[in-house]
Amino acid sequence: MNLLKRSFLYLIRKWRISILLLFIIFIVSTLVLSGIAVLNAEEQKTEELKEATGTSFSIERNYGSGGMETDEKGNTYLKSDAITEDMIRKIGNIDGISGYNATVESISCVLKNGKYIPHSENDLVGWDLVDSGTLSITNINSKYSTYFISNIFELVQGEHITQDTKNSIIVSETYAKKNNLKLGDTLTVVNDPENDDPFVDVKIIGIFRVVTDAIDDSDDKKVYDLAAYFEYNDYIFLSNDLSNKLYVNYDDSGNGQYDVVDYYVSNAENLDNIIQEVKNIKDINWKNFNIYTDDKVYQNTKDSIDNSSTLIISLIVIAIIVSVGVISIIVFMSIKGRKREIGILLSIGKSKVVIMFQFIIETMIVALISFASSYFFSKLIAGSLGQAMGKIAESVIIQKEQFIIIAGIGIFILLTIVIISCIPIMKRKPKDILSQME
Amino acid sequence: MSILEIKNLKYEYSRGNPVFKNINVNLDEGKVYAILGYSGSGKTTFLSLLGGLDTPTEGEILFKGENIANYGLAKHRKDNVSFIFQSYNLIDYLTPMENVSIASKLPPKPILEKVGLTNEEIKRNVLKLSGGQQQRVAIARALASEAPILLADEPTGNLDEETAEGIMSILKDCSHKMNKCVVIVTHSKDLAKQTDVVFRLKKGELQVERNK
Repeated sequence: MNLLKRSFLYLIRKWRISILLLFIIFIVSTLVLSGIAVLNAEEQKTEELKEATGTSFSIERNYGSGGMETDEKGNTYLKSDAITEDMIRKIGNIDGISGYNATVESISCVLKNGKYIPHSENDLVGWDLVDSGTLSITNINSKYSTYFISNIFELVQGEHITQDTKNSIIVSETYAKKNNLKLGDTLTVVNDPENDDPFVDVKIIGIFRVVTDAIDDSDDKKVYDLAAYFEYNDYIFLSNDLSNKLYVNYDDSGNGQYDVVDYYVSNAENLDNIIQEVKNIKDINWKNFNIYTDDKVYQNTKDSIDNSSTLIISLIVIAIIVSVGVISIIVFMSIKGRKREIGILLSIGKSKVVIMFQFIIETMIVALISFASSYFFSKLIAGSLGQAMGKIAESVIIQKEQFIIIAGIGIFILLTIVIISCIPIMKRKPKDILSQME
Repeated sequence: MSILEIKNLKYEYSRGNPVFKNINVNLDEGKVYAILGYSGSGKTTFLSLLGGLDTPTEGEILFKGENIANYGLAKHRKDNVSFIFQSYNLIDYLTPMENVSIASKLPPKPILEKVGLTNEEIKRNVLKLSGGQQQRVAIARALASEAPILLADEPTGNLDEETAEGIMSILKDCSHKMNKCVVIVTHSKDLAKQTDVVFRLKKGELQVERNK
């Protein structure tokens, strides 16, 4: 009878101990795999946070530094220095900055087929014009607009505005539906028709959906915050080239001048260092600009993630230690209880190595069944955990590579346990083992 | 013809406390040997040394002229000897068929039938057999190994008279018909009477008590 057959017969005939061992290894490996899947999800969440959520800083022109001025037409201008394209590029080139977006906000009117939206009269004047207007935001990279980054808006059709995009517009889904608009349609945009501002044709390249109904009603909202006066559905995003075409009659906006630039850093942990580097740029007069950091969300969420990760790791470590202890006792007692068998096998000429190999094969068979079962079962558990954890559900997955590593470590631990358990018996002479049984 | 030569054999459990010393004896094929002696006289130890389960303190044991220590004790146990133990020593999760199979590649069924087990008994778990049946399985396992030496430690110690008689008959057949060297350790003078040569282990020396 060969070794393998003997191993199988032992596992089947001594099914109680086999099941016990199988069950313990299965439970532990399921716990460890599920725990690691959750840790993966947490890690991914942290990475996403690092790259996106709140890990940004903004540079805003200091509206209070230069005062205001009124021209001969009665238009009022801010006299403070605006942010220039050269300044934006210099800062954007600093290592660790993953992207940026510069914006100019204004109120613009939109026309379809020469008629103002919403369609009423062709010659809107005064406040009627303002009422028909939209909040227009020119962008360098609309992907990095705070509205999209914060998931207030979600692009559902078409593409984002980039630095190379020309004469383009992104409108809301509701706005498009209400006005029978679709991707590729041409509209006309004008900043202020009563100020002889130019009319510019633009093409719809993207449509966004308003994801949240949350409205920013924080106390520190400023009077000049135009966003306060518009519904999200009436926001339009314009390509950057349009600022030079729409605002030709104004000195404080357009023509390569911006009010706000948002910078996103690839690793939130480097935020402070990057800001310091920005402040060290000598040819920028920082009296005219303010820097605001926004990593509060990241820090709060990171702390929460760190705490739950520590808890999961602690639970995994405890589970491993306890189970290694329990498995060691079971294997040790089992092998000790097989002294007679060892003596018999030695007396018929089986070598100690062959006998130990039989125990290893038995344990490996149990381990492989346990690990394979736990791999599939962990997927179910991880799925349930994912559901319980809301947004990260999709990322709670068991990775094959990690399973192989866990199974490999598990097999190594089990091998060690079997070999160590065998040593006290194998060190003895066959006669001593047998005479003890007699 | 001598199959085993024991030369100047000495064994100590602890230094300066020999169980036996200077034993010199030759064991032949086709003969049944009995070793008598009081408890603690070293009978089982002597048998273990012959079977390669232990190593002597001094001296050597030659199998067909070759020192078994050089041949390899595990190999000696596998190729040259088979054991029958007083407590049967069967593997408890196997059937008689499987217990015999672990020692030999020969078909186990004819051997088990030869020692008197039925077709139903040979498929039962060994723990569900009586003491006599278990001892028959142990004998069948020893016979199946085809080794030329059979070492039996109190093979009938736990058995009733009738069963013991049957087992002794098998051992004698095994020696006389199959030309094996059978060495039996026993307390029983009645059993010893049925053997060809009787040794007595006394005060560390092996004395020939009777030689047919």
